Amino acid sequence: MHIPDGYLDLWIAALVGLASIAVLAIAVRRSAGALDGPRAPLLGVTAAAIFAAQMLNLPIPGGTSVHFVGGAFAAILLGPHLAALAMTAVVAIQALVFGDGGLVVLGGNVFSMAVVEVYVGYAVYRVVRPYHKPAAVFAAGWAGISVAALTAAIMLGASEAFAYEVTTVLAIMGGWHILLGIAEGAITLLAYEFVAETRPDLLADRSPTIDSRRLLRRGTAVVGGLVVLSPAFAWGAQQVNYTEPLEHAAATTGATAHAVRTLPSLLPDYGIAGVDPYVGTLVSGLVGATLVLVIGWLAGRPLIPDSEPR
Amino acid sequence: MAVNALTARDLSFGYPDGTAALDGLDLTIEAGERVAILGPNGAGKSTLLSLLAGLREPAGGEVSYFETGKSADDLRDRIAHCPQAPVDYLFNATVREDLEYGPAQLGIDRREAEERVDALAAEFALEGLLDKPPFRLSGGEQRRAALAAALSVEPDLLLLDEPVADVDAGHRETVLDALDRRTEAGMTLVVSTPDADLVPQVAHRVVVLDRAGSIVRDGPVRDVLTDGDLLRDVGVSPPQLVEAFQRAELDNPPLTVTDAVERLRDLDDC
Amino acid sequence: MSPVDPVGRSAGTLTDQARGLLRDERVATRSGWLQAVHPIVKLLGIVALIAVTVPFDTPGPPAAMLGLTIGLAVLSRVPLATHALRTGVPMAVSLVIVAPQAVLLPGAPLLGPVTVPGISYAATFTLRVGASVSLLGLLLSTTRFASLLGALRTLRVPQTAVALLAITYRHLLVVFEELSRLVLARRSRRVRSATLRESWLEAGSLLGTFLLGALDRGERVGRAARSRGGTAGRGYPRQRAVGLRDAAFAFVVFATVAAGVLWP
Repeated sequence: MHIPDGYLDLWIAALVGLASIAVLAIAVRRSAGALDGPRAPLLGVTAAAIFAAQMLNLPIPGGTSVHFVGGAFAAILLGPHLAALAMTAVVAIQALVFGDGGLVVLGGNVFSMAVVEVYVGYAVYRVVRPYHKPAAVFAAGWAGISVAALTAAIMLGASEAFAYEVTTVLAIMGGWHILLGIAEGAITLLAYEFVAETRPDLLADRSPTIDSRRLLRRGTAVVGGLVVLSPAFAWGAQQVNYTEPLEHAAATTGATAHAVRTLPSLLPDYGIAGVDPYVGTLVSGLVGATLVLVIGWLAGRPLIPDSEPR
Repeated sequence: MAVNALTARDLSFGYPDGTAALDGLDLTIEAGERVAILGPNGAGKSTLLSLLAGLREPAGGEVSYFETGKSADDLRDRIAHCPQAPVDYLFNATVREDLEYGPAQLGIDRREAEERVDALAAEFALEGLLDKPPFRLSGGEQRRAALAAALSVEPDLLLLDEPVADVDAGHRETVLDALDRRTEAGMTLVVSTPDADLVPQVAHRVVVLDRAGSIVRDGPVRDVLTDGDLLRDVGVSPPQLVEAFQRAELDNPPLTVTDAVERLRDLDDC
Repeated sequence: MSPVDPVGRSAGTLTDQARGLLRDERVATRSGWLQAVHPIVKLLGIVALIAVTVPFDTPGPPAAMLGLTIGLAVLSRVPLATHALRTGVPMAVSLVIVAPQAVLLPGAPLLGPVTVPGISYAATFTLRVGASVSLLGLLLSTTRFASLLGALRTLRVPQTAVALLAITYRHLLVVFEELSRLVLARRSRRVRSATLRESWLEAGSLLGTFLLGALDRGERVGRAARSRGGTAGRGYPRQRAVGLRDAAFAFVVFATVAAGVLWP
């Protein structure tokens, strides 16, 4: 799921990067004080451990193997804000030390793997937990990784640099990760069961000292807002792009990435030659917006009537 | 009367999983004292040291420093704590950054900090290692670096957990000499160790903890270390010299090799 | 099941990663051109070069950029075989991913169903990814992570973030070793190959043990930081003279970016 440089359009990378910074800034502010003291080392070491744990290969039928990702597990163990920060450290180190995932698209990778995966995983955990705890843990692992993959797919699909349509990318990448998510859910559950058995105090006490409800609501609002605005950005970017010399160069060689729009797809409009390319991006943005709004709704819902102390 | 560097009253602590580590412990250490905390593995020595350094919240009781009534967090420029595992203590990218870390956090002037780092590097034989990442160091090097990092704030009170574990013979002297110089200049030193042989080299007073984490004996090194039965009861081997002299049924066993050599010469002369 | 089951293979993966980390640290201490460039200049320069590479949609400019990175790698004494592998694998993966476009994109036929725009797009995409990955690889293999963190600090990235990254990096090798020890210990005590179910149960408890251990360690490191004055302050910035090699690199970046922007 680590997107290298060269796959995403610059403006998408920048936009999603800004969204990540906004969410993380809120997470830091909400956990201020907790972070300056002994928490930063705690997070750093936990991040390193999650990184190592991601190298744990697990067999799946058919002879191949999958690996643990850990965003949802971190969220359950540390609370969502600290988990988002720890996962950000993981993703940043993977890019800045090992070259997994690009430099310019770092914000995009942080968004899908540290923000979306953690908050979605946590929200699902909170929604399902009152009914069935193991199911909640499993669902958190599954949903976290699936929605993170869908987010990455939307970023890729919306990018003109990546010639496939958003629907194609969503279908392939999303479909695959929804299957992989089952493995993630299972391993999250197994690890959770172990911790619940040996150190139940950690799961009971490691509550964020911050008001997670308000934070989550606001964080969701910020992300939602940005995504709702993204079609406007897309349109703007397209307008600017269209006048750039690069475009003319591309047009003369016939190697334009806009040729994507002639691909057969579920949205027939794409097939009509001559449609302004920003329409495509607009639609992609709308799909993304809807998806994240659904996530936001999911994330916000359990938090409002919640009276149970975590 | 000297100022108390540290006063712990009715200190108790339990681990999150429910096991009690300490229960109602009282301890007073005067400024300039050199104290060893001796006990078997699992007696809670490390826990006690981190409680005394104000790094864990006690379940009950309190610790005060230098009779100031300030919390340990307000006195980090005067109190240093060096834990058992140097691997947890050195968390910066290079050894130099680790040595500078304390002074930087305390807002000490850069030039001053650099002078301190150079002096400490020379004192602890770390010169060639300053720009290496700490994880590339051997166990003994890491321990010397951790001790140097703890001393970089020039503390008045040093709480030191197992100071020479993993340190080879040559550098052991380096470490012990460095501690001597500091205590002669007035620093208060509290060392924890399971090794009775080390105690006479670092302390004048020794506090013995049993497996339950209670103080079973507190007194001058000679009185406590020659009480072999007491030490064996709590699960600590008495110093080898003491053991040897007592088995040979000789009175007044020596505590250091120098003393032992003298005694043996005297015996020879008789 | 084969003797090298996936859980057991994890130990190998961990060792490989650790080895890569140490290799980069070693290359970064060699005396070469990029190693001598100030980390801030290098970081910003590489970001600019990637940013200028990504928007191209003809194969020429990314190919030129890839060539430039090879030149830089030679001048910086980066081991070429390692660098080629590091760049080549993502390129190959990208080529596989976009290869269908060679057929899907309409245009003048080149060979059978393959079209000219299609092959051009696939080549552009692959070269773009290759150039970007190669640039990032150059940055990573010629810069010690400590200097990179120093650069981030100077660029006013919040201290908490820098401290977090520093501590994460600092503990990577420690936790890698710890986890591979755990994996190997479990394998050495196993008398027969594990079934699928056993592997999973084992991995669950392994992960639980490991992450709990990491939390404990994190708390110990937290106490160490607290005893040394907390993590709110900052380190001393490393001043470093800007020299000829910095100027040369800045010039290369500037010329390349200018050429990229002015490309017809």
